[in-house]
Amino acid sequence: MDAQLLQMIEGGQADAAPLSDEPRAAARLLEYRRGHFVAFPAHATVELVARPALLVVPGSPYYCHGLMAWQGRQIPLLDLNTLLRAYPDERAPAIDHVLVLAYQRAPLQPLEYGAVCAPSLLQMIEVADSQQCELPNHSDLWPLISGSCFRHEGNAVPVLDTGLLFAQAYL
Amino acid sequence: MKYLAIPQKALASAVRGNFVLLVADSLRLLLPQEDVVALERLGSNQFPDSASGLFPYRQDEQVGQIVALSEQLLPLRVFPRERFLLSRLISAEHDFFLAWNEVRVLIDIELKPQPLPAVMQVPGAPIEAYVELDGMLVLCSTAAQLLAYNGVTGG
Repeated sequence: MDAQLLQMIEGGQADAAPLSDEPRAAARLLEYRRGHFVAFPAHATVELVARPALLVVPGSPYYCHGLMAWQGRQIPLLDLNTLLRAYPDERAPAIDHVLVLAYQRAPLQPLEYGAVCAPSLLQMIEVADSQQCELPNHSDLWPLISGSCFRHEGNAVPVLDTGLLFAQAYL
Repeated sequence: MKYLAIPQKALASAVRGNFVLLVADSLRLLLPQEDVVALERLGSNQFPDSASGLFPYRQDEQVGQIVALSEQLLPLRVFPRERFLLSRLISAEHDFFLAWNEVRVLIDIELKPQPLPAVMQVPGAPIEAYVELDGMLVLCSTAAQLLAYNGVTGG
């Protein structure tokens, strides 16, 4: 699905309305900050978890809340808002829900898991080629963690590559 | 084996040795026993607040300073009343005690340290791995890593 989504977006046109017979790919839309969205390939989203138990790990990246217990594993919990702003939001609400994501370090490698804060509910949408647009320019990180972007209801929505998001610390 | 957290190839495989569990509220650290050169009980832990996070220590003929760490390994300015156990870590440069709620020496135990996920690995960070001990997660570190971490010494 990921490759399909990316492939579809590559050939599209920015800001164009989807054509009725155009193939579409499922995606999950997350408003990580008011008015700011990212999307994940549908297959990469695993579960929404409420108020997870966290283990704070001193010295970890400033946008990482720590290790979260999930299904017998300890997985990293990231705050996309802090990562993309490059500094913590002092007025950010307490962690409520988090979205568990699957990723692979490389093709054919076993699935691994990480999580991001989900300050809003996920929206399930479908994306077509014709919605493709340029990545936003308000963060240098976009090209490092997302391979494509589409326009949805007037917003540029980067599609995050979970493998890249969890591959390394971005400092 | 001198250090639990390194080398990397040792992570996720079982290691056996002597370790010290240091507990400060929600912070639980595991250090190689060789890294902890002294353990003492604090006679009185009534200290005025300290802007530097360094509290004076005088007991018997010993004089030094105490640091009480937060969950993020930062020196606390208000000394927690529950901290009454002190450890001195092996170091050629630093000469102070760290204050803990609980200290346990673990002799000849086998542990399976798990490396932190790649997204949490930062060069110079004091934690590289964690273990499950008695059903609780404990962070693995060394004296060198702790003391090199800016937060601990306020450097």
